[in-house]
Amino acid sequence: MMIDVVSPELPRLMAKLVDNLLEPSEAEMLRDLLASSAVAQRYYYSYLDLHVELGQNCDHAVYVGPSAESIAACQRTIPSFPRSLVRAALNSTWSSVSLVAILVYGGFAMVAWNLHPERVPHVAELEFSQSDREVVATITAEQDCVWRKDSRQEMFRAGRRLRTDEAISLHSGVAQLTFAGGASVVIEGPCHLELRTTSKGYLRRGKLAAHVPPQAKGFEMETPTARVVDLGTDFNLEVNPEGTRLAVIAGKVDLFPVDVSANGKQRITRTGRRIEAGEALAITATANGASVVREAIFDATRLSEVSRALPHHRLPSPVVAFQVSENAAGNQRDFHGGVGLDFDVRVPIRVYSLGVFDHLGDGIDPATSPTVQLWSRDLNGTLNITSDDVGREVLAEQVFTPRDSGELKLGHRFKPLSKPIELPVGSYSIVAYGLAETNPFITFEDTNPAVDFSNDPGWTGLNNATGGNHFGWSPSTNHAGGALGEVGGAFARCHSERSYGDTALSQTFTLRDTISASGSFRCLDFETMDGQFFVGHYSSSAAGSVREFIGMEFMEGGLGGIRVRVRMNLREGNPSIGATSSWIDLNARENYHFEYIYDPTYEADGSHNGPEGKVTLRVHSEGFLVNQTVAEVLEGSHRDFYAVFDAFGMGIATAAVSGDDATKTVRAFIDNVSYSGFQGKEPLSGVSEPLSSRKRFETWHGSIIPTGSRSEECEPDTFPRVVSDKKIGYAAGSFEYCRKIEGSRQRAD
Amino acid sequence: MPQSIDTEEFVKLLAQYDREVFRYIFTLLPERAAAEDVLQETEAALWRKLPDYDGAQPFLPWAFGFAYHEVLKYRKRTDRHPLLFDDALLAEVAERRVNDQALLEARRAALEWCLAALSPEDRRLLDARYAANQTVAQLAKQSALPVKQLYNALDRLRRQLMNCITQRLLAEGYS
Repeated sequence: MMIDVVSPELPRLMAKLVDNLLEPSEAEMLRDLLASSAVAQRYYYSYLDLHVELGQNCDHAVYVGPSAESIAACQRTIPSFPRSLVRAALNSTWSSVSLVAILVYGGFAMVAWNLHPERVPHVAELEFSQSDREVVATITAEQDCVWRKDSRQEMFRAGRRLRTDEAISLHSGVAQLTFAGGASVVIEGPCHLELRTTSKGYLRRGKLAAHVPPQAKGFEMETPTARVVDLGTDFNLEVNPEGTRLAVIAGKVDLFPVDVSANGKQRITRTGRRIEAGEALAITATANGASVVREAIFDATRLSEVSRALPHHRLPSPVVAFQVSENAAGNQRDFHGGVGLDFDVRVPIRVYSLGVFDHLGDGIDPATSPTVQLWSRDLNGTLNITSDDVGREVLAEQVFTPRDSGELKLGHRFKPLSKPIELPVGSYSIVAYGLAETNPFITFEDTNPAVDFSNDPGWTGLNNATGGNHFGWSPSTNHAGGALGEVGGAFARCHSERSYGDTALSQTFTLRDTISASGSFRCLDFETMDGQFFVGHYSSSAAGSVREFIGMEFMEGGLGGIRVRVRMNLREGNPSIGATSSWIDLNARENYHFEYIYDPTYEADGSHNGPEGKVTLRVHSEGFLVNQTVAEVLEGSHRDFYAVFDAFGMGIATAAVSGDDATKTVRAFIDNVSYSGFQGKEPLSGVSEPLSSRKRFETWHGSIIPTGSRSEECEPDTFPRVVSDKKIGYAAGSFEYCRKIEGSRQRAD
Repeated sequence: MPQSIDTEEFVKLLAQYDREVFRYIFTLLPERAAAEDVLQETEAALWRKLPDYDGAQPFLPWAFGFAYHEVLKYRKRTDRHPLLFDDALLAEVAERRVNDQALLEARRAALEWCLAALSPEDRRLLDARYAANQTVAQLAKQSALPVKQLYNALDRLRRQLMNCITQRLLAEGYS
């Protein structure tokens, strides 16, 4: 799919091409390479596109200090190119490239190098100073700041990323730093701060106010006379020549003053002193180096004021991965094995806590101690066959007891991990043990299994074989993936309702219920398409004014020839009433997975009495080339209309275009669908092994269902971040996570 | 049913997609000045054919069709330079490029991330070359550095970005 292996000659020829240095013989060579390989062609135009983008993308310059120059360089023409002051930067580590030199001119620095004739230094070797170190924090806001430049003559400014062991010096003004671990600090100049890790710093001089959200608990600041370990709180610190002052504003911290050991050496005391909110202390060093701690008044008025006034970096609150409603009841009492959910991580995340399902939300039952483990999962070489997957390694574990049961959230009890763990892109399982009898877990087997259409589903058709339309159960095709058998066919441009679907749902849904579906689809022959069709929940009655649908609406157009959006169509005599999202362009010739959910509890504003409700659709192609989520909030009054959805399937709604034309057709198929209201049952087949030897879990592939605004608090651009192909099968184990922010460059504004 | 659009809407569409059309032309005619000329011809052609445009249809595929045609016309009237492609290869690359539109957009999005991962020195070199749009020869003249050295550095940076973007997309789940 992507750029694979290209001839080593190709990049060289491309560079010559864009720099107008291509000789006729080389042009010929390039032509031959392109003519022989699609991969080379893709590399060719990707390279050219990069070249054009670099020329147009002035945005990147904004992030490169010194800012004024870079921005100016974008707007006007030629920046004065350095040609003076050659300073050798010799680094013994890189003796082989010791001729690295820095040209410095008025803060505009550039690396030049004298080459060994046969050797072009690789970029890693040129990043001689700090670039190989981990980014531990980012300057996220500044106000009236005068900075001291660092050793690389670089300016500090908002957006600047700070690496391990980097030190910053603020002459005056106030700045905010956000640590990658989640804590944020506001410093006031004059201040000298050294960054140690993503959750640790050293304050040599100056004032600092720290805000530590729960997931960054354990954040540490050291000073020359003390070490402060945070327990989830806000605290202020000041270091001056007399010593350290500490004030705890909220929560609590542990304080470890510096002491002197018997041999006269300074060391930090092992035993901490718990400092509660409201306390303020001064830690001063005595003549022999030991510290004296006494109560003190800490005037951090300005710091606190500024801290409040600064545009606070939005700290992510972790998202609950698998969630059910509060106080939900379990239904599976007879299975004693490990119950798990497989999930795939597509964007690296940090996991902050593990959770266990709590039957009725009444706490962990006496005499039980359910255990939750997070496993890495071995695919056994097959991405799509999950039945042969095995657990590889326990990455984290949490034991829940009646005494230490954790915090109840969305049906689960969560206990924070002592240290958040990072999950790189990969496959994992969250597994719960010891849930049965008194604390049963939930099996959703009877509501949302996938239907693979290998047998006739016995759905009901309505005008689905007239006017150019011909859709229904298709036993011998598998366009939409999976085994033979699927649902779909040809849809023609027409205005009158047609449908084929399951009209025997377990209940009739209204806009006060959660409605969801997922599955896969594929569209074919859409070149002749000029109309609309839907896949979703609908009203099976073609009489009267209650003829609604909620789900996906397809239409011709878009970059790939066909596009899809999520729609809630509420007829009520007027087909234009409803909610429609923006379109997702579908790339031709691909299989897609879809997932939509209507969340009746979504509250958009206070002006309307009660929640508005929101529909969300996520569509991704198998190669993830298309991977988009669109959503639309319903208008205030729509939820209160009498709308009913008593069927799930495909069809053409009353809202479709007029001007019937049996030749304007498209073919579309769906497969492996799960949907609210399904009445079928799939048995739970369990395996039970001792905990210690467990490698296979009773798992059901789970997907994160984003509901309401809560999931969006944490990096809204990437939700849902953990995806898989089917609905939640169990409520047993869960966890809280955020997208891992790596070297992120938050804008200050 | 075609929906005609008015001049104002068309101007908006052009403004929105002008650079996108340029990129497409540049792929087929990788010479900036020539590509800009062809872009102008293309826009003139689009303007003439405006009454035929169906506002309900996507703009880009429609515009790409015209751009392709204008590239062919340009090739016919210029034989100064040896052409990189013959007609068959041109058609093949053009089609593949259109189908990969989404990939290219994803790659552009990933570029920003990859630029951030570069050292400040490397970014300055890119700025000097790209933001200020200078040729390697101009850079060499100003910096008194050998052309070859700058050329190698830019080559290395672009390769590095190409790789980084690919890795980034893979990490994001593209395959």
